Amino acid sequence: MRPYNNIDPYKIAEAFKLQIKETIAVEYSVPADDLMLLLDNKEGAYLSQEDPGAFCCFVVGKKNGFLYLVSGKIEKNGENLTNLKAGIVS
Amino acid sequence: MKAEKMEQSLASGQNDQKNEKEKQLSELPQNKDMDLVECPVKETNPEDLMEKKIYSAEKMAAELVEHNRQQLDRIENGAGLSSADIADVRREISLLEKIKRIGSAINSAVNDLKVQYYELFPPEDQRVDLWSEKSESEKSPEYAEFKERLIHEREIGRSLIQEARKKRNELFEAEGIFQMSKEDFATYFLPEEAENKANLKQGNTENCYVVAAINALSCSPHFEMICRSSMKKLPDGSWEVRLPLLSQDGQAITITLEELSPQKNRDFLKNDRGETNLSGAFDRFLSDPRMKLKPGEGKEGLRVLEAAFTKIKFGSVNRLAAEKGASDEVLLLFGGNNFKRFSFDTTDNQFESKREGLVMLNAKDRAYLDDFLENFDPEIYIATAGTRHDVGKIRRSYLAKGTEQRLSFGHAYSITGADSEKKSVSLIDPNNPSKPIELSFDQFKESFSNLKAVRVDSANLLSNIKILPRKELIRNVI
Repeated sequence: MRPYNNIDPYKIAEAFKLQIKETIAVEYSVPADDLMLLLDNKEGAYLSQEDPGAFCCFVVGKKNGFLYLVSGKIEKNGENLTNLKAGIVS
Repeated sequence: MKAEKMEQSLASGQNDQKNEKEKQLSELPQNKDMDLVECPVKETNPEDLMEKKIYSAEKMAAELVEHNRQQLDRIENGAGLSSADIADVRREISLLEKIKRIGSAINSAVNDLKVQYYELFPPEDQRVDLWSEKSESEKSPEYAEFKERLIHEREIGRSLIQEARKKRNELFEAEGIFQMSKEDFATYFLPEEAENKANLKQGNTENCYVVAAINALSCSPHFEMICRSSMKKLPDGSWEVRLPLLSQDGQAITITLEELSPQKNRDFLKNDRGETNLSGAFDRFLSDPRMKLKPGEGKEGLRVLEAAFTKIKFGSVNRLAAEKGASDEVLLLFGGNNFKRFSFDTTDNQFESKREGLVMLNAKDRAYLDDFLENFDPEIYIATAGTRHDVGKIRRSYLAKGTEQRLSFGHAYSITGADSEKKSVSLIDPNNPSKPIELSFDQFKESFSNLKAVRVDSANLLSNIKILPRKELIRNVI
């Protein structure tokens, strides 16, 4: 049985929205208010197949136009999201 | 309430923590016990002793930050709050930013100490130098390996980014309505064989800037999506194109098969003053020898883009009017607000500057340009570069600095890639797109005088993808 079967990545993204934005804000010096999670899109948040267990979420910079990816490790059945990292997708 | 609970937990250990911190910081440069800290430099003289103390200071700074992190965990656990509440408090007091600032301040203090040390004791070649910028990894493979690991721990993995780009394409595909099927795109835009790049080759008109822009655009992973969203082959063989591509404000035009064909040149055998019946040999030499003006050679979809630009800009597919222009203007016309301009140019109105390369940019622009080259990614940038103009307008080409590669004067080239490790740029010439050109960053900057590029604006791209289908629906209903 695969771990994280019951985890809804969208709920995780909603619950940790601020930390997700903060990860990008600190790494790329972008104001958090200029960032928007793509939670109204079908593939906006997902569990990675490349890195099993990794949570991934798309975030758009509304002013600079960059599309970011934030990844993290889900712990305690969704209560914690740790080891957050950010990168630029496009 | 939550913050108060946190403060109580904090206060209970705060005094002890403060005393301990002060003791550690004050003992950093003087504590004789630091002689016992393990350090690869052998203590043979005062300089080595200083080096050892700096090494120890660095180590203790890292330990101090880690110790405080552990203290923070104990305080948060002691407060008895849920993870969500702890996150709220962290946000309220901007905790992560403060921790980062403290870490930066400590590192800055240690770096200042190192700078002062090197002013007193410049490094000698025969000594083991732990902090040499040039050959650190050669002298200490363990250092390089550990540094690489630290970088990877901060950065998101490449495999995750690749996976994300695939998901992004699926996301775009799910949201958009494509006027052109995948099969049609493959037929009219992609090469016959996988190994050949389907580039457009310039015809006999001076529209290298258009061809260079189209070839650069075709390198972008967004190219298929934006073409399929706004171009459609009609039953009679003509094409409907909406420009800008993938834009709410796109204007629809039709390109017929006739408009893709060679056209009569109204300036045939005329000089640049429009005069014919020229008697002198020199006048005849300068007259236009082209009986027909030909479009570019390549896949039909790319030729349609070439014609569509000309028609939108000049009202008709007037190949004479479309001679000479700027590639970033072409890219912005194609992409609209999906792209943001990103250009550098040393060819202003000054006569002398037309002979200078990109090396003559001011310091700030040079820094931006170097950053662009080192981080060039077709996911983000679409770029062309232009060569210098010949002052006398007699010579046709010149050698790229330090190479045997000939470049045409006043000509636009597409940038297809850049390698930050090899420090090289790949380009293609619209006159010969099947033969890629590779130059080092320095050769590129010496030989080219402008960079005309755009950056993809993902926010607008996503917004246009959402809105476009609704507008199409309204148009169809009306």
